[in-house]
Amino acid sequence: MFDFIADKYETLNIQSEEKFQMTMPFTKLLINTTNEVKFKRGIDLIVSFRESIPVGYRVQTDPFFNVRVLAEILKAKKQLGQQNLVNIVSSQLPKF
Amino acid sequence: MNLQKYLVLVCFLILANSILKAQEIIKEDTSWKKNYRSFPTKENDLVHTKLVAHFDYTNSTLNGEAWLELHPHFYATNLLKLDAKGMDIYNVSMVSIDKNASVNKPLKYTYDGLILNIELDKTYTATQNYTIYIKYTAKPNEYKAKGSAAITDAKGLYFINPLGKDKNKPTQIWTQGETEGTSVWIPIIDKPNQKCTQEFQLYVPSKYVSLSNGLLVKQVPQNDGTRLDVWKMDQVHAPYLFFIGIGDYAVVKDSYKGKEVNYYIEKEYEKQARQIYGKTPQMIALYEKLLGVPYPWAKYAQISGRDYVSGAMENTSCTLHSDAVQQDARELKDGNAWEGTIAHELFHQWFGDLVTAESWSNITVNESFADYSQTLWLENSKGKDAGDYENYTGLRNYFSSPNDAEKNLVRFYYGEREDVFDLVSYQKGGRILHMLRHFVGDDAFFKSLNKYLTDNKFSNGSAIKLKLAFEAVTGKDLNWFFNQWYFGNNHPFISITQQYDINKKQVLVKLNQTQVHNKLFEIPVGIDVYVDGKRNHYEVWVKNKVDSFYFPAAKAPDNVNVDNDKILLWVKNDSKPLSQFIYQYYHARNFMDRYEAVSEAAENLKNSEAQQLIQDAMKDTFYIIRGKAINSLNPATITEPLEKIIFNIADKDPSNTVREEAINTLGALNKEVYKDKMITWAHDSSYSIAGAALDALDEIDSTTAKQIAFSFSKQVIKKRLNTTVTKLLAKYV
Repeated sequence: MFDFIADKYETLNIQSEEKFQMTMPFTKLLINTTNEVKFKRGIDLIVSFRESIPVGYRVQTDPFFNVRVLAEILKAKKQLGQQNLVNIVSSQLPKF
Repeated sequence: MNLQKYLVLVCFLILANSILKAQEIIKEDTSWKKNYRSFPTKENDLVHTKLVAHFDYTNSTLNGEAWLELHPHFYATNLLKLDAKGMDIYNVSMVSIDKNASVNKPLKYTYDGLILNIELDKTYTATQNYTIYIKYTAKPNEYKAKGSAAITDAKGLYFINPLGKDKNKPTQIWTQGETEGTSVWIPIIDKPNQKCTQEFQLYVPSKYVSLSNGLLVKQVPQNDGTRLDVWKMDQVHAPYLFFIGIGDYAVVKDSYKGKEVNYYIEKEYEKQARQIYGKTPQMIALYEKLLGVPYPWAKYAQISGRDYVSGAMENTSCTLHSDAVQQDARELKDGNAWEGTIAHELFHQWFGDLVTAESWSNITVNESFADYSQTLWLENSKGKDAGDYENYTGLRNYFSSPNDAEKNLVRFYYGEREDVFDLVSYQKGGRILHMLRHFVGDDAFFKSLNKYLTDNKFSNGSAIKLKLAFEAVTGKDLNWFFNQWYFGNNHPFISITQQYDINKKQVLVKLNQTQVHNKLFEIPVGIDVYVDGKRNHYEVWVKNKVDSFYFPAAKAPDNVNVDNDKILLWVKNDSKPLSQFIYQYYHARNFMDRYEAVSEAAENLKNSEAQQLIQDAMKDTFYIIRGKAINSLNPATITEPLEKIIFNIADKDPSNTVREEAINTLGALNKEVYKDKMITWAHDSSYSIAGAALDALDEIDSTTAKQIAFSFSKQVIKKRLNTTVTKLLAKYV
């Protein structure tokens, strides 16, 4: 099922509202995913979406991806003690 | 270029992010304030461009031969500077004007990977044309184009799935010129203030069709599996509007006044082509009528490109859309989501292509008009409410990005040239045009646009030229308008208060400009004062920090409606009582009057009159008002009779948007009695209805919702239904 949803997410047009709206359910799926390979693929898909947005809009869109999505996943994985997954997601968050 | 989809998504995210601002430090780059951008100096003028192109799908390159006819702009010169990005240059020579000469004369040149500096064989004067021949290879994938505000990258020429390795994606070639991407695939003076005719000879795989500017004048089959397609453009246009598209498309033919209007669509969507694009001839007719200028080009075609880097692009006579334009039959049940973009790009054929912004600083004279054309189309095709709603949406989107407010509409300072493609150039510019139209009146507005287009056709325009056209037509000095709106930034914040004096029988209306940026605006404002059911209209000028106006009123006014036509680009805080908003709804003269009243009533649902207003608004003639009214209800306070009304709307409203809102509301009630109906609606052909019903069903009976979601996951589903199914699968996996 993970791959099915990830495939769907991957193929959605980056300009579609649908892709933005699917990001939160996809985030929930990643929170529940323990398989490292699948988890990494999911994080890569979200990061790829974040990076695909033209730079002029990134100042407005990055907070959504970094705070609402990746940081939430990071928080959940820390609480679950899944350190290998914590490392994967934290590597994709900006360092301040 | 239409970035509407990005801009809308950004607005969506801004709203979603509003609570996050304090959590993440965002450093705004203000270095752009130091970069003065002049318009491009013209040393030589393009006259004609001829290209012979062979496409190498294996290496994603274009092997080209170009003949550029030019002449010095004014001053005599022996130098020519061309933009040529990331190419291999093999030969640069002067084409002999002596027909008996067998060879061209090789020319000295230097090339740094971006600019081709050519030393001509002699000094030419402005009256002497010359033709340069260049043999080259364009290598777009090797050119490291910087991403920009508007587009994800700028490599000009895109080979999509060139080797056919991805079975789920067709093989396509398309180009994206704006802002200066054309020079990645043809050496050219890649500036918006250049214009030329063109002839493109394209060798394309014979199984594909091609599209370019102008007319397809010749097709010649070759022996190597390719075909020569010759496209000729006999009218001048700017290099950033050059276009090549090649792929496996169905070509659905339409027409307007004998000109071809064609829709290039992937074959899977061929049956929907007319539903998606079919209003194009009506749009051309409307714009011709409003502008008094015939559609300028020999044909009009529209095509879509996979992995397109923007929303859509108004290449002259052949618009390129993102593949999101292609919608299946079920998506179209909820309306054509791309209709506004189709109108936008079409209007560019006049504003942008016929008359082109002289520099990127003036891009708003392309984009604000295209943006505003969406209002014009909706107003004429679906009624004034629809046009007003489009205006409101644009205004709201501009306001959603407060950092943009400090940018001038016409700006000579910016970072990257793509930075000017923003909510200011588009949405704010469109609303400024709406104000201008209101101030000068419809007749003068369209007459002025006609003059601007006629005076500058096949040439360049700017905000200054626009001002001159309006002043010539109206006979009025418009410096006050253009200085504050075109050459200035920001917008007013207005606080409105009123006080009735029973002794003097007059009402005092005070307008206070509260903006922190200290710039005071000069604005004509219409005010309606309703007393005893009678409307009295007044026109006043707001100029000062605080302006006070006294209007006669035998009794306390039923309503004081400031900016009665709702055209002003301002943020207002009107402190009038709820009773006046309620009166305003029932005596409304436009969409925003009703929308404001519903918003106010929604904040006061404990008030019985406000409740009644919401119920009445659920029967409003315009679907947005009905949807807003339903959306404003608090499920905890919905009475049984009201619930029945909502159910009927969910079942029968002619608008799927309204039905969706009603189903959302019924779902929030979480009542078993609606289970069967939710199951039925979950199978509706509309993705909006089905998605809303499945969401609602999940609240009532999650097991059944999960089963349906699993069964739907095996089908092709899109939009809200896709989101809902994914959400449920993710939740229960």
